[in-house]
Amino acid sequence: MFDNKRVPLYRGLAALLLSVTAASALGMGIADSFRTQLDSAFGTKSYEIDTKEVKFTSKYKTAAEMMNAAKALAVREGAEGTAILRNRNNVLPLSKTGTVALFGSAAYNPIKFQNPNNSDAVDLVKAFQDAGLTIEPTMKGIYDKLGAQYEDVQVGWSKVRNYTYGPNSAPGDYDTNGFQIKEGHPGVYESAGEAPADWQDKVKAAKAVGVCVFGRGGGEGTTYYPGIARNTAGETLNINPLALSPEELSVVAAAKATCDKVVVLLNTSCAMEIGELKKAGGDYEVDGIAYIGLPNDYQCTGIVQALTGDVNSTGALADTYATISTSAPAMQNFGGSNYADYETVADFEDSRWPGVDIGNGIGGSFGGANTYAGGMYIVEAEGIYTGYNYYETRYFDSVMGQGNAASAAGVYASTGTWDYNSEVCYTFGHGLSYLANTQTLKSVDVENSVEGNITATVEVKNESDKDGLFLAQLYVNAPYTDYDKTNLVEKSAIQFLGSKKVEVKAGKTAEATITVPTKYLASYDYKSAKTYVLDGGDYHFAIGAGAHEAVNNVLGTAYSKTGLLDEEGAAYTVNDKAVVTKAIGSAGTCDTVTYSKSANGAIITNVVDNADLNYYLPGTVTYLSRQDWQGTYPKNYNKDVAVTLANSSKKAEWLAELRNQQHVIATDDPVENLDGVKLEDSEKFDFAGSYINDINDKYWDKLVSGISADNAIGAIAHGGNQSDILTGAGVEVKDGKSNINNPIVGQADGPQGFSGTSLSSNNGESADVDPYFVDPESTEGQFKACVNSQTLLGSSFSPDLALEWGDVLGNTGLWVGKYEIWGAGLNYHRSQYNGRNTEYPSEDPMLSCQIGAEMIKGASKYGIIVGPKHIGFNDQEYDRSGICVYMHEQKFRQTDLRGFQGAIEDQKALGMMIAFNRIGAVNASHNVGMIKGIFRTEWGFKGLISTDMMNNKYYFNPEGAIMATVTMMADFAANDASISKGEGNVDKDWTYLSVNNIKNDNALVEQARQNLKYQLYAFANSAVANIKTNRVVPSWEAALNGVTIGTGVVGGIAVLAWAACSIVPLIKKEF
Amino acid sequence: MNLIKRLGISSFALCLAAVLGLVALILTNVSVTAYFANADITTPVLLLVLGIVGSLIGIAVNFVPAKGAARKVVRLVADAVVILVAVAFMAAALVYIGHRAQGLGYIFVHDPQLDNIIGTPENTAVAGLTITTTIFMVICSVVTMVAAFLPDGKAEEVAA
Repeated sequence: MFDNKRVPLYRGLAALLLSVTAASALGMGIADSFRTQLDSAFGTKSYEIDTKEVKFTSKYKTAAEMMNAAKALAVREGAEGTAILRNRNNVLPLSKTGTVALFGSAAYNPIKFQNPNNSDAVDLVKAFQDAGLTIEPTMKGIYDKLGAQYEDVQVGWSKVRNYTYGPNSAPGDYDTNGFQIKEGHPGVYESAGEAPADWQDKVKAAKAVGVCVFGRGGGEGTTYYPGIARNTAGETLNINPLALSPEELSVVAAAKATCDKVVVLLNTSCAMEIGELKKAGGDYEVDGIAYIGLPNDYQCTGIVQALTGDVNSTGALADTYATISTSAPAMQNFGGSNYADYETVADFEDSRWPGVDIGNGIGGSFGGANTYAGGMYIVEAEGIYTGYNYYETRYFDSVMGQGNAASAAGVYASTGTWDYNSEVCYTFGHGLSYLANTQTLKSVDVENSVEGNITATVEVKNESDKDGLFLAQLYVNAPYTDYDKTNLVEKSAIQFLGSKKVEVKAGKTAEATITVPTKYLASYDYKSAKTYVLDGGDYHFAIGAGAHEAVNNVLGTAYSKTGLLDEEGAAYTVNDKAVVTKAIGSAGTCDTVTYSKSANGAIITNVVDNADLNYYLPGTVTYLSRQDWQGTYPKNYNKDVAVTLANSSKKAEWLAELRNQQHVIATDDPVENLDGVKLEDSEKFDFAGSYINDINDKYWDKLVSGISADNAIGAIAHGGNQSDILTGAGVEVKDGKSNINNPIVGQADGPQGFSGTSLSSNNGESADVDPYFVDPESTEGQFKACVNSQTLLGSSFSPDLALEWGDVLGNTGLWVGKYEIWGAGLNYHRSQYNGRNTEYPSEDPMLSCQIGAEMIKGASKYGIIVGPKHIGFNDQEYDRSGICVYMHEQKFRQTDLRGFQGAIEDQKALGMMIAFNRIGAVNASHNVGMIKGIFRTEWGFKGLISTDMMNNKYYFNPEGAIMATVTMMADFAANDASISKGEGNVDKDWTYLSVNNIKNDNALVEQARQNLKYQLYAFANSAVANIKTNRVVPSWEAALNGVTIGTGVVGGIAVLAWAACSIVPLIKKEF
Repeated sequence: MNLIKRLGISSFALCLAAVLGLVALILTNVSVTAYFANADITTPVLLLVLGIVGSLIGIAVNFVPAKGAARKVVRLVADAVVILVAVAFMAAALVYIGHRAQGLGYIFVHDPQLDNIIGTPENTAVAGLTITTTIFMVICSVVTMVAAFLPDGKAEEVAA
């Protein structure tokens, strides 16, 4: 048996079987990282869910009800978000028995916000047909042919459809070659569209209304590059990418030549340049213009309801449409460039990374060279004057003859000096109602306290013979005082406060009540009081269909100005019932106390002085001030000024920030509890405790004291896309049980809803035990409820609709078994060139603030953690992974953060995601002032905070994020909660981190535990409490383990046999 | 005696494994770019080096001038090395792909709107290279396993 001849056989078997053992054992480690995906693919489960104790339940009894609610909401977004900008010759509403001739590639293939591709998705053509309209067949035939000309381009492993004649989709990321505006010139109708020679006669004969649809797309990782564009042939055009191209205008001309009336629909998230469409007597002047945003699967039905007058038109522009989009002062500093001596940041022996060559070039969004990613910067010198805040304030000052408003600075479309009607096409809030109505601001009550409210009552009289919905908008003109001028406190001449829609019967009146927290009336004084201040004096509250009407009403009523013009350049009739003046405080005084503490008693003061470039280089930046539009109009701080790090007296501090050294691991503060305290069963995580709702209960501190230092820092550092099993005190995880027994919660995305998730996706149990079991083969089982449109939600101006979307989102979470979603994009549109504007509602943070607040309110009722994102000035996607965004603290607090404040402070959201970029020189995710100072302390935020995708370990680091109170750094890891998994028991990414290295930084370890407390608190107060998870071994895991054990055992026998065959003859021979 | 008889087919298979291992080693080092610019390859490289060196030992043992019991002991060690080489190559493949599995998943399966960020030609190329490299490592292991089944050469008769 044991002879030499058998050696190769046993040796071979040993090699084979032990190799398989190694493969299966190591493969198990890989498979563990993809547990969720494998379970999904194999239909297995690693956790059993016990739904006996249900804390939150869906209000929908069946999946069909859930599906129908989501669809109905999406339709309403289309109906309430469509904004009629121009309506001449009664072109709108369209007759439902008439014919429309559709022009433009987007008419047949609209640019969508997202593409769930539900089987019954409705596009514009179908929506028109469903409504009873006839689609003119000749044009449809032409565009069907044009639309069939495309190339499927392989980009990575995905195929992207590259249409020859449009529609336009997303731009690249700041592509200096210019965005290609694809649209088939009418010249190609015959050559490429196979149009009959008499196509024009055929279209004329149809007596159709011409409907042209033009669009601009966007999305993650996209930024428009201003100044140039390209046409369909790829030739360079000296126009902005948001301008209508000559080809698009020629399509308008073709529509005008063949149709008596023409309407243009704007299918975009970035305000386009449409001046030609309203130029009186111009070749391209059209009868109607409407904004339709970026629809999702069902919004087109609602859009057509609005266009046909099925519903009254109540949408309004959430962005200002400037004649030339680059005229916004924010566009003076966009894109950014490197510091003059940016390379010196990398000229450094980094003790964290011995021997590693780290540069300071632009950071890739995912992967790329080793870099601190701190080379580029922009200066947001426009301050608070973005969007209408600039155009309407400058208009106000022009009329008032103050602040050099009517000067040449910032002139783009005017001749000589700045002229509102030349510079602006349509302003924020502009939207025409079909139904005649008059609105009266009946009363305004102001509770002058940090927890007080402004309550305005607007009476709406429906002067038509149809019942309908009407939109009321509330604005305020606050005093701009000497105190403000002295201390550079800027104030928009007209500020949007809130809005409300109300149903009014024909010929009747109804009241709309708008309630807004009074704190939003205060301005931030970053120079003197260093807190929020409220000027004493007259506050003119005003209503109007848009910011321009509101400011005109104030000018005409409170300041007795005459000769005012509307946005079309016609004489404006002031509504003398649109303004209520309230005296707050005493004129000439400034209240620096009332708003200096937040609602939870925290002192409000400067937290990001170093976000101002003047902090490092005093006197460098002049911020735009309405005191002197001419003298302070922003210069370009990338081209006109050389910003040199070496010139700063704070150079060392500056360089440290750029090298992402926000926290240096301490060596003199021993960790008191390195391994975690062993917890009794009664001390472990339990949803049933009375302490669950009180984060200050001592239970929580006891609980997190049970997490080891390794686990606490590791769980945050490798936050992954689901929470980790937390343990400590040497308690090994067995069957999912640990020293903490915390729940494992996965994360979902995005602003459209639970992306790509069908209602049956959570099926793991049978229908008799799972209340949310949905037949996967059924219509509703295959339905994906990610049907929101952020653009149309914004232009709906309806917090009530946002509440309903939150409601749908919350219920969907319960049905699909996902309890945490990064689901509310709330950044403001600093400019129209950020491709990510697709996910954000508006240029105005107050509108986003209220939409966000209601969305969170709606979802929270069902226990779904909706985390707004990407808080902290994600103003462009270009170099988002590291660009330094400089600004003063008034802008910091009153623009982008304001958009999130309602969701987080007012509605107590339990999640949020931080932006990629830097605030000043500090990675936003490391920014203690912003996250800990404002979110946690001032706003009282108690939930979980994620970074955006951790894509560069030299830019993001755990110690910086932890000290800022981040609870998880986003990556794609599953259960990875250790800083000891690298070689030599160091962290596998941040190799300078190990238990040994952090054992003398008690502050870091304790902060990590506190951060996890926030995470656990959020779970405890969410629908996660609905479930109890029990770890089970799925079949694939059992199989892998079986292979490992089986081959290991048999391999071991083979080794013994081989050894015997080799050794026994040897022994026999020798002895 | 001709070289084949002297070394045995097993040694030629090991030689092939060493060459393939060397190619895998080069590919492993080349694959630290684009998305995987910061990827840790220390362990796979060590395992590959172990595999290559082991393969060479398995060949070199045929030239060791030993006879009798000493020869048997050398042979025993060489056999053990061959088993370890097969395991090392396989472990290298799994560790290497394991470090990159999430990245590969992200590059190959992502939201189409992230194509210009993640689905870049550079990232796609390095993802393909990663798979190729892994396949090379697995082939090394398989070749070594085959070598383990094959009879040894008759070198000891010459060496003696």
